[in-house]
Amino acid sequence: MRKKFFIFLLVLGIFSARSQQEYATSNIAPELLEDADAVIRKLHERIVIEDLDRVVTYTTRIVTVLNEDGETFVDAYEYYSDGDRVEDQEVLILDASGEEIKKIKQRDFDDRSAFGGSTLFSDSRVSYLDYTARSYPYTVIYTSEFTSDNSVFLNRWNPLEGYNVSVEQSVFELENPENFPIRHQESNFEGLEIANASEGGKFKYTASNIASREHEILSPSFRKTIPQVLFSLDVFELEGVKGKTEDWKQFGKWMYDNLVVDHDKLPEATVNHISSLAKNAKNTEEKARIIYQYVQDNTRYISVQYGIGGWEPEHATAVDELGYGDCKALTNYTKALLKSQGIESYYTVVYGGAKKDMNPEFTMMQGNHVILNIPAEDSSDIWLECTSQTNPFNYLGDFTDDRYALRISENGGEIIKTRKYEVEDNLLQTDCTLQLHENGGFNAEFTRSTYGVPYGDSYYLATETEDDLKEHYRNNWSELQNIDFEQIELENDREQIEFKEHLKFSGDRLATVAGNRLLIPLNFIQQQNIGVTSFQERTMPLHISRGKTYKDHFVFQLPEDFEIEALPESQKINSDFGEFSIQITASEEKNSAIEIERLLVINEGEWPVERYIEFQLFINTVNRLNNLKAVIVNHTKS
Amino acid sequence: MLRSTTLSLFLLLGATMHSQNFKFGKVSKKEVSEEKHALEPDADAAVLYSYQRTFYEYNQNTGFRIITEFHQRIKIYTKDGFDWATKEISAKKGTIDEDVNRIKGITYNLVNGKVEETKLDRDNIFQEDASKYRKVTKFTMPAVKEGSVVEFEYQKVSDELSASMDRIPLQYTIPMNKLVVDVTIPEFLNFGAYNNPKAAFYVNVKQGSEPYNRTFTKSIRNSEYNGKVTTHQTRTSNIDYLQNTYMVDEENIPSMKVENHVDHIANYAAFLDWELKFTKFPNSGFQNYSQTWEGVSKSIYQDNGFQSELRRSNFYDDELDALLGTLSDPEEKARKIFNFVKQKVKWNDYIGFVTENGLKDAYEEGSGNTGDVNLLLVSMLKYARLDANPVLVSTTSNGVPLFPTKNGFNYLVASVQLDGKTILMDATDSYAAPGELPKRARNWQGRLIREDGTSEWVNLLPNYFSENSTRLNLEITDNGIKGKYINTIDGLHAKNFRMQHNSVKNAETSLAESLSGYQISNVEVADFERLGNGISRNYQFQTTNGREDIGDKVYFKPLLFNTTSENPFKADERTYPIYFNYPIKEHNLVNIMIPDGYEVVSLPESMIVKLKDNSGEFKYLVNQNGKYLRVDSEINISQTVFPADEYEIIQKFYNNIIEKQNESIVLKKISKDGLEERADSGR
Repeated sequence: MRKKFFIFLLVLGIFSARSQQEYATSNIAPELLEDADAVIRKLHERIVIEDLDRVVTYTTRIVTVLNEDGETFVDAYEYYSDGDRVEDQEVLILDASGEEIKKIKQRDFDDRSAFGGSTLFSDSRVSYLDYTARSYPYTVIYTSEFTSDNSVFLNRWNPLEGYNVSVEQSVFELENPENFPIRHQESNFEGLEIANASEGGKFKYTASNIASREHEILSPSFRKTIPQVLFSLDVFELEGVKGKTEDWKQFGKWMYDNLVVDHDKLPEATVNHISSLAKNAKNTEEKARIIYQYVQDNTRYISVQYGIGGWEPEHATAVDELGYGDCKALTNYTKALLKSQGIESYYTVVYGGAKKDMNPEFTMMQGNHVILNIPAEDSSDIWLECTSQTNPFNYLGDFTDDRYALRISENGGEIIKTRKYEVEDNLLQTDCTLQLHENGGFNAEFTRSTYGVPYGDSYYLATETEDDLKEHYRNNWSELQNIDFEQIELENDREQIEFKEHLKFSGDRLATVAGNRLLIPLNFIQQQNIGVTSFQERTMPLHISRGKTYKDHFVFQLPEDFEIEALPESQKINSDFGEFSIQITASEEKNSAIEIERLLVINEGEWPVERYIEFQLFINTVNRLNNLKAVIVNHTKS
Repeated sequence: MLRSTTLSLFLLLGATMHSQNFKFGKVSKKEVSEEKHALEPDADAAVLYSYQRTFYEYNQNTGFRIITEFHQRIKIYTKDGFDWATKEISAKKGTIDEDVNRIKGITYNLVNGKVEETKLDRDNIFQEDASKYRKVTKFTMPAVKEGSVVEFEYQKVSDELSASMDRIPLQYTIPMNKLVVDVTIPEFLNFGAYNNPKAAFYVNVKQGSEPYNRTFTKSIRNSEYNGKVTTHQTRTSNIDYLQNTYMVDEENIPSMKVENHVDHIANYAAFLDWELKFTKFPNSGFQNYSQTWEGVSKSIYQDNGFQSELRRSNFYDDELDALLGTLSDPEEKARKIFNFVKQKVKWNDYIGFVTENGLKDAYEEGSGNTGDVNLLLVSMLKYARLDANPVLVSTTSNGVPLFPTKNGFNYLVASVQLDGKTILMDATDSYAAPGELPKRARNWQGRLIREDGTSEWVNLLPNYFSENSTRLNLEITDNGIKGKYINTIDGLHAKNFRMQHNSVKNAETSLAESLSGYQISNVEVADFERLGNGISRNYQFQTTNGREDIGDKVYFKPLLFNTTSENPFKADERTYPIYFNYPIKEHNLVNIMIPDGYEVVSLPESMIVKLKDNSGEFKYLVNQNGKYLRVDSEINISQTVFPADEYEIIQKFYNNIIEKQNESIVLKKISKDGLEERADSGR
C-alpha cells in the first residue's frame, strides 16, 4: 500500500517536471512570437453531447501572455445562467521558465453579472479569474468543466481568436454518443496546418502553428477571414423547449410556434385607440406610420433577460402596460398593433451593429437583435427598428442595414436581405456663402443636408441644447478659430428622412495672412478625411463597407480692395474607388468672389490587396486637392 | 420698478411652491401637465421633490439600526430624460449587510385630461450581486412617456453602527425644485456635517436637538414547581437620551453644468459629507475618532495597523540587505528600493490606503492594492534608515477631504525626505520614477502622517515643468520640404509617452505613422527604458505637403506639424476652474535654410505674451541672418489651476499662440536678374 503510494507520487513528480519544461517561453517558435501579445500554447476543448438537455464541455487552455495587451487572451472564465453549472475551474500560473508559481481554485474566482449598463437585469453571470501578473511573460493553465442544459448552442471552433495572438496547438473534439443528427460547416482552412481526424459520431480538429495577424485598416471583418467550424444539432433543447433546425424554414417555424405565436393579444382599449388613430389613414403605409409613431411615443427600450425570456418576446399585453421592453418585446408589440389594423408584418432576427450576416447556408441559433419587416408587393419592403424612439419610419441606418436576416412566420423561416443604402443615398450636401475679412476672418451662411446612413449619425442634434450644439460644432470644426454663432436652426424632416442645418456664424483666421496677401483654403468645412496608413506588407484586401457622396458649393466673397492674385486649376479624378472633382471659378468681376463646386464619391466594395496602393494614391490625391489655396492681394497696398 | 417686479415674481414662485403636496401619491395635475421646467427650460427632467430621512432606531434585543427613508418625485420632460425613470440602489453586503425594502413606485400620466396612475409591480424589481461587497436593487418605472411624473420611495436599513453615514447628494445634472433632508442621530454618536467647499452651491444645515424617550415593556414568564405553575410578570424599562438633528430644506437647486477640462466634475457638485467625531455610549467611555489630524494619524497607525506593519521587516530583510549592499547614498538607496518594490509587488487594480491582506502576504503573493504596495515601500525605506512616511491621498473620483478624517481618503503614496525635499513615490505605476505620481493620485493635496502623531499637507500637483522641446532643421526643396526632427520630452510628458507606447518598438512604429502626408525615416527613440529621464525622439522627414506654391511664391508655416491649430478652450463661458494636468513648457526651435534662387517676401513678426504673476508666457521670435531663418516659439504654463474668472484671458492667450504660429513665411522665386540685384544690394 505504502509502496504504491510512493510510486504514484514519483510518477506524478516526473510528469509535472516535464510539463514545467514544456511551457517555458523559450520553447515558443520565433515565428509565433512575431507581432504576438499572447500565444495559445495548447487549447483542448472537448464537448460531449450526453443528451439534448445535457452538454458537457471540458476545457484545458494554456496561454502564454507576453505583455499587458496579451491579458485579454487568458480567457479563464465561464458564462453561465440558471440551469447551467460550472462544475470546476482551476488555474495554474507558470513563470517564464515554466515553473509553477501559483494555483488558484474555483472558490477564488470572481463572479459578476455578464451584462453592463444597458441591461437592467439578466440571469447571465460570469465566473472569472482576476489575476495580477508579477511580470511578463507568464503562462496560465486553465482547466474547467461546464454543463449546460441547452443543446441549441454548440460551441464553434475558432482556433485563431483575435489579432496579435498566435496558436501553437488548438484541438477541438465534439462527441455525440447518442448519435443525434448533426451538421457542420468548415471555412477558411486554406493554407493552414489543420488536421481533421473526425470519425463515426466524433469530430476532431487539430490546428498547429498559426502565426498571429495584425489588424489592417479598411479590411474585411476578422470573423469572415478566420478558420472556423460551425456545429448544429438537427434536434435540440432550449430552456426545456425541444426544437428542430434542419433548415431555416423549419427552424423559423419552430421559433414562431414556440416563442412568438399568440404573444400578440392586446387590451381592447388599446385596439380601439389605435383604430381611432388610424381610421383616416389612406393606405397601409400611412397606417403603419401612425402605429410606429404610437409605439415610439409610448414605449422605451429596457432590457431584462432571464430564462427563456432571453429568446422569447414578452407578451404584447405586458408591454402595453409597462411601456417598455427589449427588442423582442417591442418588435412583437408593434407587430401586434399592426395586426390589429389588418397589417401583416414579420418578426425578423438579425445581427445589430457592424455589418454581419445571419449565415444563409448554415441553420443554427444566430443573431442578437430583432426588427420588424412589413412586406410590400409593388415597392420595397418597409423595415421598422422598434427599439428607437427617434428613428424615422422605415429607417434602419447602419445598425441593421444591408445584411442577411431571418424572417419568421407561421410558414417558417426565410433568409432575406435588409435594406441597403447605396453610395448616392448616403449624401452630405453643403451650400455655403462666406464673406471674407481683411484680417483673415469670415462670416458664413451655411446649409447642410444629410441623407441615408449619415442622417442617422446627425439627426440627434435637433434635440440638443444650444450650448451643446455650439460645443458640437466647435469641436467638429476645430480647424476654425473663435466661432461665434448668430443662428443655429436645425430641421429634422422625419417624413423625407432629411436633416438640414442652417447656420450663420463668424470666425477668425480662416485665411492665412502673409503680408498684404491672404491665402484662402478652398476647402471650407472638411470633408471626411480618410486616413490611409502605408503598409510595409499589407496582407488583407481593401474593404469599404458603405459608399458615401459629398457635394459642396462654396462662394468666397472677397474683402473690399482685394483682388485675386492666383487661383489653382480645376481638377477631376476618377477611379474604381470613387471620384473627386473641384471646379474653381472666379466671378465675372475679378475682384468680387471665388466659386467652388466640389464632389467626392467613395464607393462601396472589396478589392484585392494588390490594389491597396492604388487606393492610397487616390485618397492622397483627394487629400492634396482638398488643400488647394487661392491667393488674394490688397491692391491698394501693393 | 424693476426691483418690485422681481420681488413679486419671487413671491409668486414661493407661493406656488408651498401650495404643493409632497405626500407620496399626491401628485397634482399641474405637475403632470407641465411641459418645460420653469427655470431651466432645456432640462430633460427635474427632481420635483427629494426627501431623505435618516434616523436610529433602538431595539432592546438587537440595539441600534440605522434607517434611511427615501422619497423622490421626478418629472420627465423629454426622451433624453427617460434614464431618470430607472433607479439603481446600491447597498453593502458581506460583513456589513444592508437591506433595501418597502419599495413603492407610481408613474403618473395625463390621459384624456385626467391623471392616470400606473403602479410599479414587485415582479419588476430586481436584485443582483455586483461584487463581494455590494448588491444592487434595480427597477424601472412603468408607462414612462414624455411628460410623465414618476415617484418612488424605499428604505435602507443597516445594522452596522460603525462610522458610516453615507454622503448625501444635494445636486444633480437636472434641476431640483425642493430638497428636504432630515437626519436624527442619538447623542452617543457625534457627527459633523460638511458642505463641499468646491461646489458653487451651498445648503444651509439647521442643527438642533430633541429628546428621545421610550418605554419598553418586557413580559417575563416564570415556571415553578417543575413547570406546573407559571406566573407572568411585566417589567418596564425606560430609555431616554438626546438626539442631534440636522435639517436641510432648500428650493430651486440649479442643475450641475458639465464642462470640459475639469479635473473631475463630481468634485464640484453640492453634497453633504458626514464625519464621525466621537462616540460616548452610556456604559462605555468617550471614544475619539478623528477630530484632529493628530487623532487621525494615531488612529491609522494603531487601529489600522500601520505601526506593526511598518515595523515588520523579517520577511524581506535578507533580500533587501543583498540588494542594498554597502550603498550609502540616500537617493541611490531610495531609487533602488522603489524599483525593487515595483518589480516585486504588482498593483492588483484595487485602491485603498490600508493593506488588503497584510504586507507579508502581498510580498509573497507578488500583488496587492495601493495600500499594500506603497506601505511596503515606506517600510523598506524606513528599514534602510531613510526618513520615509505614508501620505494619505484621495483620488480624483473620490473628491477632496474637507476635515480631519480617515474616511475621506482612499489611496496612499510614499514620501521620503532627501536633502530637505519631500519626494513622493507611487510604486503602483510601473512607468513612474520617484517624484512622479500617476494622474489618479494627483488630486490637490495629501496628508503626510508620522508615527508620532504629527502630520502635514503635501502638494500632490507637480511643481516642476514637464518639457517638450523640439528642434526642426528645415530645407526647402524643389517640390517640398525635408528636414530633421530632434525632440526631447521629460517629466510627466515622458511618463505618459512610456505609458502609451510601452515599448521602444511600439513608440518607433507609432512615430513613423504619426504624420499623414509625411514620409518619415530613421526614427530613433532613445532612453525610453530609463524611467525618470527624458526621452529623445529623432527622425528625418520629407513631404510635398506643408507648403503652398502659388504663382511664384512659396508659403509655409515654420512649425509645420508642430503648429498649434486648435484652441482647447472653445466655450463662451466657464463655471468651474480651469485645470491643467501639470506645469508645461513647449519649445520649438526651427532653423530654415532659404534655398538658392529664393528671397523672403514676408516674415511673421516677433511677439511676447504674458499671463499675470508669470503663470504663463508665450514667446515667438523670428530672426533672419542672410540665408538662414530662425523661429523660436516657447509656451510656458507654470500654474496648474486657474480660477473660472480668468477663463477669457486663458482663451485669448491660446488664440494668440494659434494666430502667431499659423502665420506663414512667404518666399519668392527670383529671376536671374533679381539674384544679381540682391547680391548688389548686399554690398
